[in-house]
Amino acid sequence: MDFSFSEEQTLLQDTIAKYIQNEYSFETRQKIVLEERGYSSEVWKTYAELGWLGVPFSEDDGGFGGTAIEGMIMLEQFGKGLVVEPFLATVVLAGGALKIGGSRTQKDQYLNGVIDGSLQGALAYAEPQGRFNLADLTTKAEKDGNDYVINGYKAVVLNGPSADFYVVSTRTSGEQRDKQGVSLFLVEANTAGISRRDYPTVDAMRASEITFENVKVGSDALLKGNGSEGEGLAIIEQVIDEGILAVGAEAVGCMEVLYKATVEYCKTREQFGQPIGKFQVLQHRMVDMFMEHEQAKSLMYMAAMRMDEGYGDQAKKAVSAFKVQVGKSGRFVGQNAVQLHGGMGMTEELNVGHYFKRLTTINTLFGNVDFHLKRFGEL
Amino acid sequence: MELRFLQADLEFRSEVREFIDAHWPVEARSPQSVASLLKFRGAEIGQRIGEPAVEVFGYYALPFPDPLLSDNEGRIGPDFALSALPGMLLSRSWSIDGGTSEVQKNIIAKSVLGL
Repeated sequence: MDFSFSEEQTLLQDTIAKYIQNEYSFETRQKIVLEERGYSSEVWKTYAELGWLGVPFSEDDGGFGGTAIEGMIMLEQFGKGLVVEPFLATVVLAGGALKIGGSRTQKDQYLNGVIDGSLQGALAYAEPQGRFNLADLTTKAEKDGNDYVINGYKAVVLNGPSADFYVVSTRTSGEQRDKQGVSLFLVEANTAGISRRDYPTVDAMRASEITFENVKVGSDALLKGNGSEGEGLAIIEQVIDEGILAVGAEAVGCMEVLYKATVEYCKTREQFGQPIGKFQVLQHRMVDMFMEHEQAKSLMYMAAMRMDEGYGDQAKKAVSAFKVQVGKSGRFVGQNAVQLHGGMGMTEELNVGHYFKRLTTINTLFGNVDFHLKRFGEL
Repeated sequence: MELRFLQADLEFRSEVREFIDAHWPVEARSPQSVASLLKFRGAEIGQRIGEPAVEVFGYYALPFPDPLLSDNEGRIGPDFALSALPGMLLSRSWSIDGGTSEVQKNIIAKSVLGL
């Protein structure tokens, strides 16, 4: 297998790495999270101008036709910078749902805005009782003439506060956990009947609890790809798997920063008359951290390549394997980076704890280790 | 580990920790070595409780526990969810403060094993 990047891919990686290094220091990031939206509109505009928001979309859709590899490259760099701008929610999740399941008209209506940075989106898929089961839905959409009426509740909708439109998973038929009967709808955020409760998350993102009360949308809001009403589960499953690749790549970036920062710290911090990095116990721990990062990175390449070969059981299995490794490795690297930095690792001022928090929420997002180990075994 | 085994596992570990204290032969004891052992195991058990406490809440471990969220609108998510992740993060300090777990093991290596 050839793992080497093309010239364009290397250029993309270098450009983002340079941007993070020069323009997105940890201090800058900590100022940005205090802004009203929780991210910087200026930074978002820059991403749009640099063309980054269009990378995952085909040229027909106004994008640059990037593959899973390009997505992986970008998110790994974003992870290194602990970027808080809503690339995941708007481009990967909401944009991804349009890319996979949108009609020409729906794409024309929303994707241009996503790519030029003027529209924010969010994927409203989780429900309080559903845990990580994408088909466990109590939110209902009922047909009313040519329209649909949506009633229900969506939990922890990332980027909910800033989103101009939502992609909402609902049940149009069947029982609460049936695989059939799941339908996705495009809903404008200002539609009557939507109420939101906004809050920050532990890793400095923003999210909402959203209630839908008799929210009326036309039948042209149904996001169905080549299928028909009630066949939306396949779309959302693919979107979530692309989301896993994205946050997993971010986690790999976080782990690289953490193990390198820990090695540097242990070379300089002195105790008992020598740098603590001279102690074998800590050396072995850092070797383990390095190896955990390398394992997660290897599975990241594997998962991205499988996704590019075509979406099916092989790709799903690779994505679940990657998510399991990210959960395990992220926990080990995060915990030990804090441990080896000692009291400093616990502080708000040092970046280490912030990476650990992001790794912890990434373990939960889209299904934790147990969930994906089970899925891996069943595929 | 599956949640149904977890409670039993934690209970087991806590028992072991208590009985070590009660049964460790007097001649092998020095105040530091007992303290070190109990401190090390205590931190470890506390941290092992912290992790599943986050995982059981799924997505509701994510909201930041801002006091403003406990206003008359009620909490975000189920009871105790808001304290799960901060609790886990705090538990990471237990193997650092008062002498790290690595230092505790050094003490036992020297004072008990004579290394």
